[in-house]
Amino acid sequence: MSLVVGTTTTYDSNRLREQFANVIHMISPEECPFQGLVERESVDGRHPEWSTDTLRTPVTSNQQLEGDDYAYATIPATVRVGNYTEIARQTYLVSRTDEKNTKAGPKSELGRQRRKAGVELKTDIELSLLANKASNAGAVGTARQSAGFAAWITSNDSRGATGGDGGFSGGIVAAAGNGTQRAFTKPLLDATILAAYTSGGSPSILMVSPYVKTVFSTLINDSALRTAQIFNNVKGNEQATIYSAADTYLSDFGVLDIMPNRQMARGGALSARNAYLIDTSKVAIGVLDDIFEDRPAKTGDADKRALVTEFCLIMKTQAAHGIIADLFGLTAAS
Amino acid sequence: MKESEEKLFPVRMLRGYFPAYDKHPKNPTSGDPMKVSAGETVKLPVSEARGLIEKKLAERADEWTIE
Repeated sequence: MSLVVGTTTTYDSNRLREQFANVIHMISPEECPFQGLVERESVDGRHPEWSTDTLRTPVTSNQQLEGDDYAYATIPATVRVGNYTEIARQTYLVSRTDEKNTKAGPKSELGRQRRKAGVELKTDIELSLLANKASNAGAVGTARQSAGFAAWITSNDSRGATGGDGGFSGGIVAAAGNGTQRAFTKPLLDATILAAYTSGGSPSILMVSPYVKTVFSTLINDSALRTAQIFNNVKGNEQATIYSAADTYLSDFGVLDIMPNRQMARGGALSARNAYLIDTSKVAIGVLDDIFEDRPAKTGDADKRALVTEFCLIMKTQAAHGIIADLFGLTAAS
Repeated sequence: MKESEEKLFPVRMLRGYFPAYDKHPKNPTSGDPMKVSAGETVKLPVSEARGLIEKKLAERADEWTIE
């Protein structure tokens, strides 16, 4: 191979335009399934409270004399529980010059950072709502804190050895104590579903970390569990499909959708170790102030912004839900 | 008492707890320890009982125990 002397190539040119894509590729997942599942409710203050009640145990001895005078039962008062709202924010700051400068991709750097901040704030809220964290009334120097889902559950919980309940007591919700981690199994799931059903709940969602979802799917291959075999018909030269996943579990007490939550894995081992049985009608997100963009006064040659929100978890009745805690949530050993 | 037997101490749980003590009853299906609910009394090895009392997860329950 040879070039005729004098051929101009791109290596000689000074006029090539740069090939810089107008698209920014981002791998980080944005979906927040818990926030998509449960309803949002407006709250009017930083300490929303609500009441819970239960029916007394049914008896077989409710047979009365004819003409008898009534003896009146004392009906127990309802139980008053509550949570505290927490303030979450994500700030960003762009110089006037950078905002004006011609750029590849989004024209406005403020716009790009606003969108990214919004997604990051939303994923923070997702983890906070599910977390095993106590409520805190806060003080001048202490941030208020909303108790997360994992901290509330005391009635229908499966925990590893040395694990202890958190729960509402004395005006606050305590965090649960972590126990020894173990693998997710069908007996753990069945026992927790049974407990939730007996308590009166009707959970329809099992929210798990992506790794636990893969462990759940192995149940279809476990011959000892006598799970139904899955087949599909292959016609002619069609390619066969290997079925290696399951998204639904028909338990003795109803159908459960198994929902992986990537944010639980992104949050690390502490977020991934719990599997949540959720009755979506018995939990909500309390919103004191929905996400808004605050524009603080300029103090220099840049634009300051903050996305701010204030919210809490409204755990209407914890006994409707369940938790399988202390699972290996990221790998077979972590 | 045999040397090998662990000394047990009664505690009354203030919160639900899943003991690590290997002779504590296990869930027959999952094999995990059975939960001791808040208000219930359970006998645990001294070290485990002491840890729970220090963390205020349980209180001593030996006042009225007659062995």
